[in-house]
Amino acid sequence: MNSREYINQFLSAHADGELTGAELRAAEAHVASCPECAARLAEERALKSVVRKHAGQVETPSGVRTRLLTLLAEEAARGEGAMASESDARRGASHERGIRALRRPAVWIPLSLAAVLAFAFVAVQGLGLFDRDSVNVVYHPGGSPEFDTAVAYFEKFDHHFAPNVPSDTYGDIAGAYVEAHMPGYIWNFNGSGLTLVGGRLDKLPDSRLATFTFYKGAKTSLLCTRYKVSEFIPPPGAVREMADHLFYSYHGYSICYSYSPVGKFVCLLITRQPVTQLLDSVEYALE
Amino acid sequence: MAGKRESSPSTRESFEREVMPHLDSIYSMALRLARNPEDANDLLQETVLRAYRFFHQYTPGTNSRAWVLTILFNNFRNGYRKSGREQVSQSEAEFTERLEAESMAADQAGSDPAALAFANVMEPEVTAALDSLPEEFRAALLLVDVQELSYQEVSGVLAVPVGTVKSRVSRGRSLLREALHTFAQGKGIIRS
Repeated sequence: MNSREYINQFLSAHADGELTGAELRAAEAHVASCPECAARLAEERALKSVVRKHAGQVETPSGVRTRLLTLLAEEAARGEGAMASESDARRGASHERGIRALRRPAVWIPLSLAAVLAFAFVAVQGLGLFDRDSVNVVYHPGGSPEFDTAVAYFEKFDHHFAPNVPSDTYGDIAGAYVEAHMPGYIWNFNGSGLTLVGGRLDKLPDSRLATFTFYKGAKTSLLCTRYKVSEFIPPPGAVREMADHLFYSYHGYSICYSYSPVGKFVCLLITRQPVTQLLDSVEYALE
Repeated sequence: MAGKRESSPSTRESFEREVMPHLDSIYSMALRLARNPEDANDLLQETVLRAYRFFHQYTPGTNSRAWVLTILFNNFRNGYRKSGREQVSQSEAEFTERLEAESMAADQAGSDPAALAFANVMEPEVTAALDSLPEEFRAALLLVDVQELSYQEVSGVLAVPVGTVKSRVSRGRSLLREALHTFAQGKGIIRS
């Protein structure tokens, strides 16, 4: 082992106590014979303690703690302490019960906000009003207007997608979104064979913004849409759930639905890939 | 009924026993991720309530702090980025470039890394240096150095392979070292 190998491959793990067996013995032997690396190891350990000292634990403010305990008590009083397990969810009728917990507001809100929610629902339906001439929303009876609208945008952009924000890199798009006070998280599906085409920022009829990020693969394509909502109310009927992402099979499309509680944005991924493939793509991208 | 789980006093008691002692850990991490108390409070609240709803998925006897931190990170990475201080578009290359520019501005040339006196570095510098790191490195460092999780546990929290944790910690610490070095030079703590 030379110094370069030690520093690049072993130093941090050595300082973190993560080396065992032959690796540990080799690292110890190298440090014993190399004063520079011994100094680097001491420095690495000092760095760890500096981080722990200056960026360590802070006490939860008592008001925040009290509020949490109250919310927990309310949650317990509702008698819905947990969601049904995934195996339950696969049992058809039981599935509906499994998703119910997620349909409840993630953060409890007064009923007086019902009017705002009703407005938001209309606004979401109104998503299709943007570019009304070129987006043909087909509303499925008993379906989700949100999904129907997303499908319409997917079809439109699958036919032709023209970015309206700088789209040379992920950073360009993220920067443009963030500047517009929208989430700048750009999915990276490179590992799933989907290449980033570009991004769009479009204003909805109620003056909310939506982001549209489009990806293209050899045989498929995918659209990511984000917009702000007043409350998290995912449509029923999810067939899978993974890491807070709900997956739907919807009239020939697969949709992944997730929600960011901080900022209150929903994220809709839509593609013609089978749900299992979308699940793999999301899982891979989350890594 | 299959799958129906009623909340019971014992569920709540178990939850409070297993999870609530880690509240300060969760809050600290939320604060580091969200970077302002208001968003940290939202993130904390959502994390704890979600942990309660999913408590039946927790395996007793495993690391409950790592389990809740997993939920925290899931919540956080589900797309939340806020304008302002958040440098979401910053890649490692961009970070390194900026660091080099700052380093040149702060100082002349030829510094001696071994002379870096971390003991003299103060909290604002550490916080600023950590905040300037690309997110994946910052998260890995905080989980290992502050939360004192093993690489295996961090792998579970961040949903990445152990090898990725190892490389993120190594790269993150190297970038942090450079950043602190830059700050130290700027303040004259170390001389070139």
